Order: sequence, then structure tokens, then C-alpha cells
Amino acid sequence: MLSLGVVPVWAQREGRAMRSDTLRNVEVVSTQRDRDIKSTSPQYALTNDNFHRLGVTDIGDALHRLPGITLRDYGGAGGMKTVSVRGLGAQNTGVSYDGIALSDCQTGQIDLQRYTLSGIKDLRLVVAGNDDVFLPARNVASAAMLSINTLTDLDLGAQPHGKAQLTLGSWGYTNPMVQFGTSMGNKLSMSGVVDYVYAENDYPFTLTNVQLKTREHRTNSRMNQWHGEVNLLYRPNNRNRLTAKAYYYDNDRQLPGIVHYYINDNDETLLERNAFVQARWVNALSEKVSLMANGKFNWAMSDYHNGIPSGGISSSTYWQREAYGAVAALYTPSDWLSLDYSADYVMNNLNSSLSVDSRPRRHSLLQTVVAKASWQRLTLLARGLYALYLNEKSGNNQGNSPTTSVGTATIETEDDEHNFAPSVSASYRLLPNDDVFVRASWKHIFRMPTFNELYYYHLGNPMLSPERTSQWNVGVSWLSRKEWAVKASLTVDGYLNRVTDKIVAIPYNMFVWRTVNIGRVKVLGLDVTADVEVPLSARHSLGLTGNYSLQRAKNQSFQGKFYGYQIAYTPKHSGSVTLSWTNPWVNVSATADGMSSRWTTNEHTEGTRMEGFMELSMGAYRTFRIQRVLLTVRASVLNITDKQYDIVMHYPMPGRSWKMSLSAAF
Amino acid sequence: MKKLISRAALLLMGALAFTACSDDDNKNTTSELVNVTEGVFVLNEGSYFSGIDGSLSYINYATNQITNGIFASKNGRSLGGTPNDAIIYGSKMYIATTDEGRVEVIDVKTQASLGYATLTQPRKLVADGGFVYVSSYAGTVSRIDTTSFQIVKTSEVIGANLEGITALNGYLYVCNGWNPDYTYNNNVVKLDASTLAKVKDITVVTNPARILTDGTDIYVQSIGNYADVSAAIQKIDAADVVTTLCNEGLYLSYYKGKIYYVATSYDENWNTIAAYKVYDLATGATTTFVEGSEVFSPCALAVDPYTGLVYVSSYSQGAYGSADYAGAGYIVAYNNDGTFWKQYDAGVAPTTYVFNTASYVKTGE
Repeated sequence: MLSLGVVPVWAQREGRAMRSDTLRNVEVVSTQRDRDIKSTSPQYALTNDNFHRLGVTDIGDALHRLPGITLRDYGGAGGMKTVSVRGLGAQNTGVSYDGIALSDCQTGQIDLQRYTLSGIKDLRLVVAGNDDVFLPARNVASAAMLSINTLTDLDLGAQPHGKAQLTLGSWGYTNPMVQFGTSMGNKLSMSGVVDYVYAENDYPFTLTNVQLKTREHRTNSRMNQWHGEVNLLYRPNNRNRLTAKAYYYDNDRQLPGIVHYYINDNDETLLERNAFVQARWVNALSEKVSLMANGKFNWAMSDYHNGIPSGGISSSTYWQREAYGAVAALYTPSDWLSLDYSADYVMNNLNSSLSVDSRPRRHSLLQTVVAKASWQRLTLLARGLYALYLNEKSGNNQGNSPTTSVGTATIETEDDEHNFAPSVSASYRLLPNDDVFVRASWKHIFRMPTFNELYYYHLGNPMLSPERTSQWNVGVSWLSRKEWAVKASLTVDGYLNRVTDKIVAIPYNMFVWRTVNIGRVKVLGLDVTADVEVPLSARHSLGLTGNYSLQRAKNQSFQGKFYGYQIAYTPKHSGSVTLSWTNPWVNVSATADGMSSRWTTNEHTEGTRMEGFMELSMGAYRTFRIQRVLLTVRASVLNITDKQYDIVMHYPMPGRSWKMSLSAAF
Repeated sequence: MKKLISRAALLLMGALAFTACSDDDNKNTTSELVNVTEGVFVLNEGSYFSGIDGSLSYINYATNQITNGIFASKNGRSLGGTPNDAIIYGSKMYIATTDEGRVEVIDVKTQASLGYATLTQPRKLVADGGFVYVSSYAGTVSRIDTTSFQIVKTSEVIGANLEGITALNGYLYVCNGWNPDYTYNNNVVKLDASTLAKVKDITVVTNPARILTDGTDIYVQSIGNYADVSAAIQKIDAADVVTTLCNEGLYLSYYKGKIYYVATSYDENWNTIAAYKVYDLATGATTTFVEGSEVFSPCALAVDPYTGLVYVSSYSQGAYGSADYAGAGYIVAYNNDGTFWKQYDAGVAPTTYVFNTASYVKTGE
């Protein structure tokens, strides 16, 4: 249950139990890195023990360590963070939380800022296909899936245990966290976590205005966030396993807004609340058949306030709800073959306080059929996804078309969709005694338009079609032999992505834009990860971990002057490298991460080029045991060189800062 | 965007019309007042949400060359976010930068900064009776002193997002365009210029945006609601009676008894169809001025009061084939007979023209 320094014991135990209970898979219990190396599609993981070793301090920092990711970060502890994988855009990245998909039917983007690293067990990124077959259909319905797995700490038969942690940082960052778990007999265990984040976020930055350089501070940037969750595991016997979670999140924050040269009067605030309950039940019906059922009810609210110059405060409140149910059946007729059928039903709706409110509702039915076969050195996986979407809308906002007149009747929606999306992937072990694999995959997937894209006032277009993506990947992966003293691994993947019918907003005039399916993007890229650990002596080792991504994302939407230009906000080169030294005194790490220049527009207009940057950070930690209590002390210095850079234009990122944490686990 | 013709300039223009034909100033008279345009300042709005600053350009008539970015090159700092309007009054130029909360003041000849006035989201400017007046999204109109550049008086809140402003006979007329929740208003507010007290609301077509005067009447252009209410150009006479001149028009400019305007409409596939038209105030007849094939997507129109050159600003075509609001625009200049004159590369969103004019007395032999 001591979740520092090692992959939690319970996770391995649970994992092993589940696999032997249900999958009877040929795979032996293996480490995460093992599985990543052997997978037929690229997948990467960052686990809790790596957070310390690699000096990872927050979720944004963690995401920089995964290849293929372009993080959009508005800066500071409260700044929104979304990820685009392999040049496909944030809306094509699905995010799951402890196995069940998160969603935002309004914007289609998940803000990852809200997930504090202290509660996270691991982050996994799966690009295109997923080697796990026994999954809800929705978990494979995106071009890429980021899985956040939390330290639910459900250990059957364990004594009461817990952890308390306090993290402090520059500019008022205060993050206390308390976690508690206990088991009631050998069949039921419960755990809970509460964390709170306060940050003043008033960090300084240098504002360059032609020849004028001034030192400014971010203002109106405070955040007050707390989150709590309760987890439950009930395992009456070896054949049944029920996990459940109740989650609540509340964040009241100020938004600092775009930096101006001459005024600093932003007064925007955003209150976000999210509550959900989710449960998963897995049943091993027989040696060959397993069943799974998932359910979730989600409620989310966002309330945006800003001052109106002519007096008063404007408030726009949005409420969205989701009801979700998913069933899956896994059939493993023999050791080499697994078959799965999954069916998901989702109902989403959205309403708002706006006078031009429309109330869209969507019913989605997703089904997948998967077959995975392994013969000696070859693994093959084929998956078909069939999805049906029914949209309904009422309210007073008519379809935004130049020829429809405004009325109040419910309009006939012509935006129902059904789609089939196949994918295939394979891996082959090149040498019988070495972990050298080649892998290849192809996945076709689509993204349904979000409610904003379909119905947003003066923007939405109910006639939109889904955005379509084809992903091809070829890669090699290698893991050093178990008997070697030096542990090393390497993955190199080259890919081609084609996005067609990409949904983009184009202007009708300055104030009225509309969304249309006219974008075409071709992305050619390369993702490389490498990891070497060299033992120097019994208790000393040096580690080198790095990732590099090349993204040549060409906008091929229109045969004009800008055809083939790199799409906005996508660097050609990005990556990070960490050198770590593990020793009996204080473990230390040094990290450099950065990216090449980007353009803020697809046209590469003068004045929209953002310079590349390299950020250097250092971290140190040590664990002590005092009787039953394991203490961990950690300190980091981030952006040591005080490099001034933006990720989003006119949203400066923090300069040099520190972070310290102390945790006690028993 | 629109051309605000100051009363002084109009009076001068009137004088010119009586004394000389502008194209033919070599006749044998003893003396005459000659008005010339030395060049034109073009204010580029930039693109605030794409992080592109606005800028100032100048087309010099002596060389027929455009120089871009002159505010930044002369002052070592940027105009910043959304310079929305500019006027010349005396030897000074006033530039309202909406997203920087300033009215910048520069010297017309050197473009060196002289100072600035601070106020919330300034939009449009007009000069009258020794002062400069500015409308604001604060719903107020403020008076700027032309030597101290201080705000010396501010009206009560008379509307929401105020746009175009003009002055006639001691009154200010201000467009109360739209509201922060994207609903629209349909009134022009008439203020007493000396007290800044509201006199009355004048009802016009939905979403009035641009307003100007020929010295006798007021002309107001409304955008409509982008749905069932179309754009319109209306006349407000001295008795505040409103007459609709045409049910179209997005940008307008006045020249010698005529309103030049751009009418836009959309086909089924949302392609913009732009027409460049002239409305004759005397006859009420509308004619097409130019086909305008050189213009990709218009964003402003202005007519030089003395040369009659017609300037049309355009956005460029972007990466999706549609207008690029975040890319450098360009300017097409037509002779007054509709023939093509010149094309200039400008900054991002070149939406305001300010003619740099001079007048002097010419003595003949």
C-alpha cells in the first residue's frame, strides 16, 4: 500500500488476479514497459515511481514526457491544458479516468489541469488501436486515448492505511492531500481522497513591446480548487469484481486573460463543478467467457463571469449531463485467440443560461467487435466499431444558415449519423530470444461534431458531418535482455495521419463564423522514446530517459498560397530528456524539455511566429522510514534559466519557480 | 471602415466646389483656395484573438508608396490590440485602440507620440468645436481635451456597445450598436455636444454601426441581425426624421453628393457576393461603381475628398480559402471613374482611412 518508489503492490496483484481470472492470456504478468514494447499500436506510460525519478511535478510536465503530444497550456497552475496527439487536435484525444471515458459534449476537449499529480498512479497514452480487447467501445472511439489511472489504493485484506501530503510552490501554490484506505474483510475495501489546490498564480513575466521591455505580473489569476472521491472494491469471489467511484470537483478561478500592453483590467472568472458516479462489474462466467458492465452518470457545470464595460456582470452558465451504460463480453476459445463484443449507450445533453439557448441532446450507440490472435511470434488484432448518433435539439436558436429565418419551432435535425470504423494492427517478434518487435497498424476513426460546433449561436452548423481520420503506423521496439545489468529500451515509430472533413470555423463576417467540414490535414511524423538505466554499484544507478517527436503537419485544405503550411500551434520538433541519479542519499534528476518554433495561424502571418524554447528543471527527493511511516521529501526548481516563453500567444508561462512536498504514508 | 468627414473639412470642400474644379487648377484666377490630399493613413486593426497587434500605414501621394508599421517604427512601441478608429484634427492624429483602453495622440507630420487618453474600450472618434469625442463600449461618450489629452467630461451610460459617432449642429449622434450578449439595439442616440446630455433616441434599423454627415444630414448604416433583418443605409435629417435609402450596405463613404458603399450578400453555400455601389443623394438612383474583381473580401471603403480616389480594403484569402482575418490585407485604389489605379499591401485588417489633407491659397498670374 505504500505507493512511493514502486508500482503499488496491490496493482500488480489485482492485475495478475484479473488476468488469470478472466483472460487466460498467453502473456505473462509483465511490467508496463514490457507491454508497451510488445503492443501492436504505439502506447506509452508514465507511472508514479517515474514521477519521482524523472522529477515530474505536475500534469503538464508529465505530458511533456510522452511522445507525440502537443500540449496547449495557458500557463500557471490554473491555466487550461489540453492535448493534441500527432497533430490531430485536442478533440480527437479521448481521456479516460480509471477506465471509463470522460466527456465534454459542449467543447469535446478535456481540460487536464484539474487532475493533480499527487493522486495519479499512472498516465497512459494509446495511439490508434488498443491492445486490450476487453474494453468499453467508447475507449477505442478516439484517434488517441489518454488514460488517467488514480491511486485508488483498494487493497483487499489490508489494514487501514493512508497518506498525507503537502506540496508548496511559488506564487502561493498550496496543495494538501489526504488519502485513506481500509478493507472490511477480504471481500470489500474502500478508499477516499481529498485534495485542495490554492494558487495565487501572480507570477512575473517580461513583456516585450517592440523596443520596450517591461517587467509585469499576471493578475486576476487566483484559483481555488478541491476534489474528493470515494472508491470501493467488492470482490465476493474469484469470479466477480465490482469497482465503483463517486467523484466531485469544484474549481473557482480567475482567468488572467490575454496580456495587453497598456492595460491590465481582466475580470473574468470561471466556476466549474463536476460530479459523477461510475461503476464497473466484471464477471468470469466460465473459463472462456467473461462479462463486463459499466455505468456512469455525469453532471458538469461551468459558470463564466465577466464584467460588462457598460455596467453589470455577464454570466453564462452551461450545464451538461451524461448517462452512460456499457456492456462487454470476452470469449477466449483457446490460448491464442480472444474475441470481444462491446456495446455502449451514451446520452448527453446541454443547456445554458443564454438568451439564445438551444438544448441539444444526443443518443449514441457504439458497438465494437474485436479479435486478437497470437501465434508464436506474431500478434494480430482487428477491430470494427459501428456507431449510431441521434441528435435532437429544441430551443430558440435556429440553425445558423443564411437562408433559414429565425423562429421558435424545434427544427428538424438532419445531423443523425452512423459510421463504421475499422482498425487492424500487428506485431512480430523479429528474433526468438530478444525483445525486438516490429509493429504496424491502421485505424480509421471519426469524430462527431461537438454541440458547440453544431449549435453554438452564430457559429454552429447543424449540417456538419463527422471529422474523419486515418492513421498508419510502422514501428520497431526493443527491450534489453532481462539478464543484462544495463536496462534499456527503445521505440521508434513513423506514422502518417490523414484528416479529412476536418471541422474548422471560417468567417461569414467578423462577428459571425460558421463551422464547416473543409479541412484536410496530412501529418507525417516520428515518435522516439529511449530509456537506459546503468547500475554504477549496488546502490547507485544512472538513468537517461528521453522522447522526441517530429510532426510535419501539413494543412492541405485549400489549393492556394498556404497549401502545405504547418498547421497552427504545432511544433515540428519537440521532446524532453532527463538524466537521473539514484543513490542512497538524495536522488536527483535534471530535465530539459522544449520545442521548436510554431505559428499561431495557418497562414504564418508576420508577427505570429513563436520562437522555440528549451526549459531546464532539476529535482531531488529522498524517502525515510520512521517505524511504520514512510516519509518522502521532494524539492524541485523549475525553469532554472528563467526562460520567458509562451505556449499560447500572449499567455506567458511562468519563469523560475520552486516546488516542495512532504508526504507521509503508513 | 467609414470616413468621418469633419465639419471643417466639409466646409473647405464646399468652398472648393465653388471656386475650382479640383482636376483643373491651372486657370487664370487671382487667388483660390486649393485643397490637396498629401497622403492617406490606413489603420490596421490587427487580430486581437490571434495575438496580432494593430498598426499604422501611410500611402504617400508623392511617391505612391505605402509604408507599413509606422507607429511602431517611429515610437519603438506598438499600438497594441484593436486600433479601431482614427481621425486627424489640426496637426494631431487621434487613434482609438479598443483593447488597450487608450486614445493615442500622435503628430501627423512626424507620427511621434504626443500622449494618450485612458478610457474603457474606446471605439470611434469625431472632432467638433475644439474637442475630440470618443464613443466607448462602456456605453458612454467622452470628451478629450486636445492639448492635455485628458478626458474632461463623460456622459451618463446611454447605451451598451456604442459604435459610430458624428457631430452636426452642436449635437453628437452615436450608434448604440449591440449588447455584450450579442443581441442588437436599433437606436442612434442624439446628445447635446456641450453637456453630453442625451437629447433623444432615434430609431433606426437593427445594429447601427457607422455614421457620417455631409454637413446637412446624417447617414447611418446598420448591419442588421445576420438573419432576417438585412443591412440598411438610412438618412436622419435636421428634424431627426429617418428615411431609408437602401436595404443594403456594410461600409460607406460620402463624396460630392453621393454615398459610396459596399453591399454584401451570401449565396446558398455561404459564398460572399460583394457589390460596390454609389447612391446619388439628389436623384435616389443607385449605380454600380466597379465590379471589384480585385477585391477578395472587402473590409472597408473610403473616398478621398479631393481626388475622388476610391479605396477598398480587402482581407486576403487564407488557408481554408475563406477570408483570413489574421493575415495581412491589401488595398485596391480605383479612380473615381471606376478604373483601377493601384494596389497596396497593408497590415492585418486595414479598416480605417484618414486622409492627410492640406489647403493653401494659390495666387494666379
